[in-house]
Amino acid sequence: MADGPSMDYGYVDRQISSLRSEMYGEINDLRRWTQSEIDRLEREMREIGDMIVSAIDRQTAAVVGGVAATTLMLERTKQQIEEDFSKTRNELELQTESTLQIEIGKKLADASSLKSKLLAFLNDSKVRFDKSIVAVAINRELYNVNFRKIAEEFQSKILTIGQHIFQIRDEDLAPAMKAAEVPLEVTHGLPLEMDMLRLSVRANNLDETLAMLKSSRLDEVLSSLDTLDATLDRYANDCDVPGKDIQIGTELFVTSSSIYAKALSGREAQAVTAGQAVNLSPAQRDLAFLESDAATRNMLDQIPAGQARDLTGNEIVALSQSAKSLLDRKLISADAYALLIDFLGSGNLKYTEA
Amino acid sequence: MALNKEGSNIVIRDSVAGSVFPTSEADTVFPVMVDGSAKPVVIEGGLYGRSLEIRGDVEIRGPIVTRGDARLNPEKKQILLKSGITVNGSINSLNTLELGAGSLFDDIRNARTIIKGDISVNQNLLLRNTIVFGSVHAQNCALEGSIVLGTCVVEEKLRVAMSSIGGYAARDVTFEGDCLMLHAIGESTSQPLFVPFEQAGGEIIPSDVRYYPAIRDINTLLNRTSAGTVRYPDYSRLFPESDWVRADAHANPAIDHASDATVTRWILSLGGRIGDIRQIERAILSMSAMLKCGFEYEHYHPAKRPGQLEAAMVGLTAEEQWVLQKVCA
Repeated sequence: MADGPSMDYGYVDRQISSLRSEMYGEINDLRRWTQSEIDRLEREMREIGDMIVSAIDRQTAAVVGGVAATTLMLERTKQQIEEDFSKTRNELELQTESTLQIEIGKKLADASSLKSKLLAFLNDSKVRFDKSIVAVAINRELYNVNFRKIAEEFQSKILTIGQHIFQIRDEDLAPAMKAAEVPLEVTHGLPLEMDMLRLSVRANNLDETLAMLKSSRLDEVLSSLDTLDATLDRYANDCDVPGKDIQIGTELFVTSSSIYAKALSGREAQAVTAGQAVNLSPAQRDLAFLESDAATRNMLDQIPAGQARDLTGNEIVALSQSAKSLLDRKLISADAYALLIDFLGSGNLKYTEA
Repeated sequence: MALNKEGSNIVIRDSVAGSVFPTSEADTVFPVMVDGSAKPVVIEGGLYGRSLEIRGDVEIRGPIVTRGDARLNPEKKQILLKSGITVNGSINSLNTLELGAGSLFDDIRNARTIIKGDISVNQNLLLRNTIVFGSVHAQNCALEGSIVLGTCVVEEKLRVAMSSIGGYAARDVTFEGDCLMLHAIGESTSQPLFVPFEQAGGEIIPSDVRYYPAIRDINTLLNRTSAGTVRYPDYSRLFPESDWVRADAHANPAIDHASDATVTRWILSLGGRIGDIRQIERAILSMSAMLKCGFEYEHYHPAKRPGQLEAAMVGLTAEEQWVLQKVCA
């Protein structure tokens, strides 16, 4: 800007004012022209309006006439249309009726044809049904025949099976049944009876032999013994034998402990009963005096002190076995046996002979 | 399939878990063959057939019933029938009599056929190398090298050749060679015949009949006199002149037709003998216990069987124990 032409604000303002004046002139010219034009157009529009009004008036009259004519035409047309419609409707009705009649005829024709078909089908079905009934009856009869055959065959088979069963029982099992009929006791009864008979005969023979032996040999000996007894009895009655000098050989069983001593002689063990440890028969009358307390003390006094000894193992075993034997023979009770075994096991048993 | 139909025969070559009974009418007329030639065959149940042939190593645990004949052919093996056999025809042992080494006389375990239970035959019975733990019923009976622990009830002829029997009831009876009576029980219509036995080679074995309880301590269920391996006491011999007696008696229903008429009988009886009866009693009681255990064994409770068998073994000889063990196993 510094390098350009130098600006003169006054000049510019003048130019601007010049231009403004020009513009005002121009604008005023244009305003006048516009106003004139508007006025002209208003006149023309007014003229045209007048022309239109007049034309409308003329046209209105024409239109009214036209409308009346048109209305008349419309009435006519309406009547024509109604007439045509009526005709058309009648024609349509006629056409529809004829069409329906044709269709009904066709349908009737078809129905008539279908009826014949149905009748034929019905007849065919009836024929078939009748034939089916006949076939069913025939089949039923055939089934009856077959059932009868099956039943007869079944009966025949049952009879055959039963026949086989009874045949097997009567024929095949006959040997076993026959063998089982007679028990072996009956089969072998005769040999057993013969054995008994021969034993009896032999026993009789032995009895006879013994009787003969007795009569031939023993009777004489017995007679001699009787004679001897009689002789000895005679001598016995005449003698007075002092008892204290008699020596009797007998077996005596003495048990003793520090508090009790007992001698047994001439007794016999018998089967124990409930509650008994041992069951000894009473002492023989002749030996009863040996069991007295005085005799027992006398015998114990004769045993030297310290002579008793312990039992050996074999002796204890032998005593145990003897005790078991007594138990088996029921000569001592089970409790006594148990006590005896315990006592043997204690080692307190001493043994001596005198 | 253990059962095969070959032609008109039913052939069994494999073991059968159950019984062999006919399942159709045709089966009742088919012969049955149990073939144990190739391998042992065990039939755990019974067997029924039109006729029967048993070959080789066969064990049949149930009862056997056949309408026709039965043939036993062990073929050097052993047939074991554990519930008896009933035959409407005849029974034939097809093997030959064995007397030497490897025979029943050599060792009782060489028995070719062992039958537990009764044998009931409507016609003829021929047994060889056989042990029968039961009785025999037949029209005609021939025993060769066999042991029958029970009774032989024979309606016609009984032939005992080199065999042992418990007792007999027959119309005719013949003892050939070395024979043994397990019990002194027997009767026949005709007088018993005691004849020598002729072996296949022509060797003659004289008649010798012994009483088993008298030689039981020697442990021999067969009379092995001719074998020479044992020597029996003289008192064990049964003498035809004194031990068989003739008597008139009523008919025996087991072998005679029912009749009130008396008939002549020849009866074996030891009633006239003097002997130790306790020994005889021991033998009879032991053998009775053996037979009782053998027949009742399957009826015992399984848990009780060993105990019952062990109890029955007490007092038996080694041969008796083996027989009892065999039929109870």
